[in-house]
Amino acid sequence: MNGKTARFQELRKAAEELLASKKGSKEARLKFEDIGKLIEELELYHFELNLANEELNRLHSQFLEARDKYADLYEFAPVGYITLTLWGSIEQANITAAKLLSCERNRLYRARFVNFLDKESIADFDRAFNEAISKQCPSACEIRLDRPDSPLQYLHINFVPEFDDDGKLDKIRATLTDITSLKETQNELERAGRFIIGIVETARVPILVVDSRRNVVISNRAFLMFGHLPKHNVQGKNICEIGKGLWNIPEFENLVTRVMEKRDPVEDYEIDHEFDSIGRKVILVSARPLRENRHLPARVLISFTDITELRRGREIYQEQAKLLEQKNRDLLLVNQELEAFTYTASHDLRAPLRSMMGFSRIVLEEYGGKLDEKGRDYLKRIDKAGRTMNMLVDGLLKLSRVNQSSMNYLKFDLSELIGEHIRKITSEEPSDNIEFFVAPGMVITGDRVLFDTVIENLLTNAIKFTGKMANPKIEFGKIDIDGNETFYVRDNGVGFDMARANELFLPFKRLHDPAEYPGTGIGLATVNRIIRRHDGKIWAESEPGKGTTFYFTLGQTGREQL
Amino acid sequence: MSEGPILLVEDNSDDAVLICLELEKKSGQRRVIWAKSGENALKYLFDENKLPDSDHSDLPSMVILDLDLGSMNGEQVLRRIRGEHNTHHIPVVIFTSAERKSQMESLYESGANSYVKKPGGYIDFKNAVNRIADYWLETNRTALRE
Repeated sequence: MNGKTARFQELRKAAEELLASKKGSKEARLKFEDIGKLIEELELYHFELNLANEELNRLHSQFLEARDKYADLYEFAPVGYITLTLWGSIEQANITAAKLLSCERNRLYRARFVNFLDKESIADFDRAFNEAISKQCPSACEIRLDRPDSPLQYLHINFVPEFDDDGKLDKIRATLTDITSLKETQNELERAGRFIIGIVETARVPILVVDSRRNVVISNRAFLMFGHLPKHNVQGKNICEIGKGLWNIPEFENLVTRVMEKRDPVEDYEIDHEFDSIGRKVILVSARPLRENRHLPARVLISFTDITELRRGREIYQEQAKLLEQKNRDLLLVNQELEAFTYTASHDLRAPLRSMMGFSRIVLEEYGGKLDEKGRDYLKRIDKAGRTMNMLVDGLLKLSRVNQSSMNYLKFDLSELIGEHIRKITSEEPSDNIEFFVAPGMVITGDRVLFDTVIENLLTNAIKFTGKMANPKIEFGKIDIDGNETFYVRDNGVGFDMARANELFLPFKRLHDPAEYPGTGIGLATVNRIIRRHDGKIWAESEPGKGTTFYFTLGQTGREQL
Repeated sequence: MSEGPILLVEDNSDDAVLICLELEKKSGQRRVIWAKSGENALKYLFDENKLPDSDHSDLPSMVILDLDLGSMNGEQVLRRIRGEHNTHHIPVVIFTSAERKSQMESLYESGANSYVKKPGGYIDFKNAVNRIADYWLETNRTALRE
């Protein structure tokens, strides 16, 4: 190259001399060979230039290619790039940044960046931006955009200060990263966390969560309330130190350690402990390991059920039940004795009664002639008293048999049974003037033998108390009372005062003068017992002078047994 | 028809008198022998001195037997009667105030011919005695060894 330059200079010098001699004198003339040489040189040079030019062109296109590539990288990077003036106006922005800010690029220039932010994010942005300026070092922040017609968007911004040639702070470069989905996940997690904490706090069961060192991570309100403890005496404390050692119970500590080590849950472990401040408590403790992640240290969830009251209640209940059972047994025994007594008493009363009546009758028949009127009257009184007593004994025997006999359930036509009894009674003691009404087809399930007694008693009762009325009527029927099949016997007899209705079914209680209306006072008591043995109910409604209605229902027992 | 006496085994003297009264009214010539206990009844039936084997005339034509008799009960008496060759054909009517179903079964198994419950009232009682006498003495025929 140096050689060439030297030749160039030589040729040039020759050319200049030639030109000067041409101007100065006509003798100075360029030789022909010299010109040929010059042209050759020029051609050579021309080739060289062409080569150099080609090289340059190639380099130039290479440069353009690289430039486009870097521009692409800049424009379409997954991160937004902006350059901000020190006053916060946008000076440059790549396409990604424009997209993130939902704005055309040419409109971004000179716009203040804070105009794109949600009000609540401005302070965060200012803090980080000012930090980059004042400390002249990188800083970062997270902000929320406020863009009309575009969904919520969160950005992470990194600020990097840029200096000019003199080393003076000139601009702030910033990268914008879309963290919306990250933020949404985070928010979702926070909501879930709050939800769980809400549940734990609201639960009335005391709950603790302890970490691997048995320090309290979570404690709920119920737990604090149980021991009357302030939160700071619980949160973060080791379980032995909770409430200044309130929970320092070796049994409890062992339980937690065991669950922690074996990673097996324990349910309803009973701890009976005398607590310092809250007294003796019986608690069921359940503890289970929380398997969040194999790499995380173990945590244990502990819940407590205070069963002190329950236990005390149960003890009292058991005591009472025992007492009641004993009383029941006593009562049953007394009852059985009473039944047996009634049975044997009335049974054994029979024989002497028969003797009394029999012999007084024989005396009256065989020796009546030897007695005066007075003597015969006395004997008749003995006989009458005997008959009354016989009825009483009969009644008592029937009453005691109601409870002693076992129930023999049958389905039968009650209307037919009533008809039979009416026929029997009217044939023994004609009572043509009484009008009887019996609803047909009343079918029931019950003990037929016992129902004989029921119908007999109710019927004779009705006849007895209607006998003195002008147009005696007796009606048997069935109605529905509150969905219950209810049978009734209605008469238009003398009736009684409802104020004494509760005495009606008591043995030996009589609501009428026995001289006027003879009876033992056992009949209705027997009926009541029989109805009760059928799991039914009997009651009466009456008005003096207008008549009485007896109602009775029957339970389901018989129908189920059939 | 046998004209043998009626053996009444009854520990209640009132009942015994009332029964005897009715039975005697019914058949004047027939004797009623009243044994106040089971032992007495057996003594009457099986005492050799009193009852020579050859003479059957004193064997009762029927036995009316109460159950609750004190030391020896009616059922034991019944078994003895049925167990002995001389007496096993005699009709035995149980006449008692007890009404026990289980006992009734075993009584029939032991050979009772009838079981009648003593009615409570005097009139019914009287009628029952009459009906027993009517049936067992007038209507029923027994395989008597004469």
